[in-house]
Amino acid sequence: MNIQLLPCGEAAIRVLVDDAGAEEQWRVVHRVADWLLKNPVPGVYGSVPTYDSLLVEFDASRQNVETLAPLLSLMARDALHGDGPAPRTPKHFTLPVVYGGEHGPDLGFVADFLSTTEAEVVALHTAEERVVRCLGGPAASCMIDGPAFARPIPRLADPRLEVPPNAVSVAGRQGVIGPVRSPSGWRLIGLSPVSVMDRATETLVPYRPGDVIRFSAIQPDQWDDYAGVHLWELAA
Amino acid sequence: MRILSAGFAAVTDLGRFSGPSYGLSVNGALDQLSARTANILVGNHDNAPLIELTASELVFVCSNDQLIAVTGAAADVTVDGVSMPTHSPLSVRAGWTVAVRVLDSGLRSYVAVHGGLEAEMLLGSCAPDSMIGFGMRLGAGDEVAELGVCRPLSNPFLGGAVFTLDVPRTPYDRSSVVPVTDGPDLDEFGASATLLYREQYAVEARSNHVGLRLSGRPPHRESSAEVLSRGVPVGAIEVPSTTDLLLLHRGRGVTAGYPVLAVVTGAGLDTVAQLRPGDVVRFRRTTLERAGRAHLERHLAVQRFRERCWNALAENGVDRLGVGDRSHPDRSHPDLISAV
Repeated sequence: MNIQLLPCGEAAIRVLVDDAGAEEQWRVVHRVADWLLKNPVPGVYGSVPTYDSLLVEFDASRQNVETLAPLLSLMARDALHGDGPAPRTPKHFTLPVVYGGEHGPDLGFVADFLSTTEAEVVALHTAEERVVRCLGGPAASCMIDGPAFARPIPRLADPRLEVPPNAVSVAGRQGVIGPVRSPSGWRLIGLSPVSVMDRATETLVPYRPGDVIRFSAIQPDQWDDYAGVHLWELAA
Repeated sequence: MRILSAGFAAVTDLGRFSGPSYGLSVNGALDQLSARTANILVGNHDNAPLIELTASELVFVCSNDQLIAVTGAAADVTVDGVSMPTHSPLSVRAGWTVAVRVLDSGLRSYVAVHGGLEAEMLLGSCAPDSMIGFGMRLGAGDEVAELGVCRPLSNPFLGGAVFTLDVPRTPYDRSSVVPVTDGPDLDEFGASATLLYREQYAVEARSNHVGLRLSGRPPHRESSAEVLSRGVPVGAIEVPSTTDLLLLHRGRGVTAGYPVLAVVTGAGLDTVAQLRPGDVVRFRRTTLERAGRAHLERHLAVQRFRERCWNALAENGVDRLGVGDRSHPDRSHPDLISAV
């Protein structure tokens, strides 16, 4: 494994974990991010960790790439060797989803593309727990690995200008839950009646990378049973 | 204050600096220097809630005797019908009408009032976030609480500025030159990368706080490998098509799957915030060392300006300086602590 530090302007630096398996890259990147969150470095605003890298943003009047680079390399090395804070106990969420129909207009496409049935796609999507890989744009979207589909799912050629909040979508080998109304080129297979985001809570969304989400299929007539429910209330 | 009419105006601050760690954009005043100087001119912390006015007009009536200042884009400012200068503290009596109209040189003006404005906070910032629908966009009839009062400084009735100061300003021109450093994925563009410094680009109308679309002849990516979603810095220049550049600003989503060709410097981003549709922009390649040094020089210039300005305000009887910052005085914006 190799750590690369790539400046992104005078106020940010990309820490890239190279030359390692995807799972190990992801683990190192998020350990460094957690460490920075728990042990703030003066002048560092925070970081955006994803899969093989994290972007560390800082105040360029208090820090610079030369002063931060040695510290970040050491943090990444320690994370690789398993030093640093004990991994957080992951939270588990079960998210009820109405699949297909007007709630998931692309479910039929995904089934056809995989030469299978809609029921089989739903079965695969609800089959196992998914690790939250990272929080992505826009607005703290929940990025997860996709289900064990036979092939990567192509994106929409013509992205939707708007999908409703709490949309459950797939593309490539990834899955996503979108907390807010936004444009999207992902394949929308279902909607949850549960509010993923709660602006009254400190972090807005209850999940962090490393937490675990499972989907459960519900019928359209069960939608109203979840009126006013927030995802954080479903944490276990 | 009571808003009589507002084009595109919102209450903001310097940004939600802890937001990206939670998947939210930093947002905040796009022209950071002008937002800082507006607040400093009225005796506030740099980060106090103020109004960002974009390419339009704002008319309001102050509820208290006030000290206000307008910075940023060239603008017509009138107080009770009398023309007043921008980039200067202005005394306004309770009940007087203030009108600010952005002219055609620059895009964004900043209007600060002594003590700051009351605004809902999220993660220590009132900056609007269009993606999650947070923030206070102003409209006719709105009431926004002024958190301070400031009795008139010497001679407000003569209609002139109280004193003139050499205010640090964001450079802007219809054909601006914006400094960039090499992006982390520059190599993916091979020799075509130099097009970025040789060509000129026109600002398209579909540009906003998330990013600017720039039309021209962009470099092209030579690699076709799939790009993983990664954190993207504010200022990132990406190449989403063969005819456009995308320059990401403070409203950008924190992750993206495009390679980053170059990154606009902090000072450059303030200039970019003032670019108008149809303006032409060129990019000048600079080094990290020079960009870092330029940032520090600007930081010191703001400190010197704050000291000069606040000495002058104190001599004119303004006794509450450094007010109006309701954000947490913590690492969300550490340099404000040393500013007091």
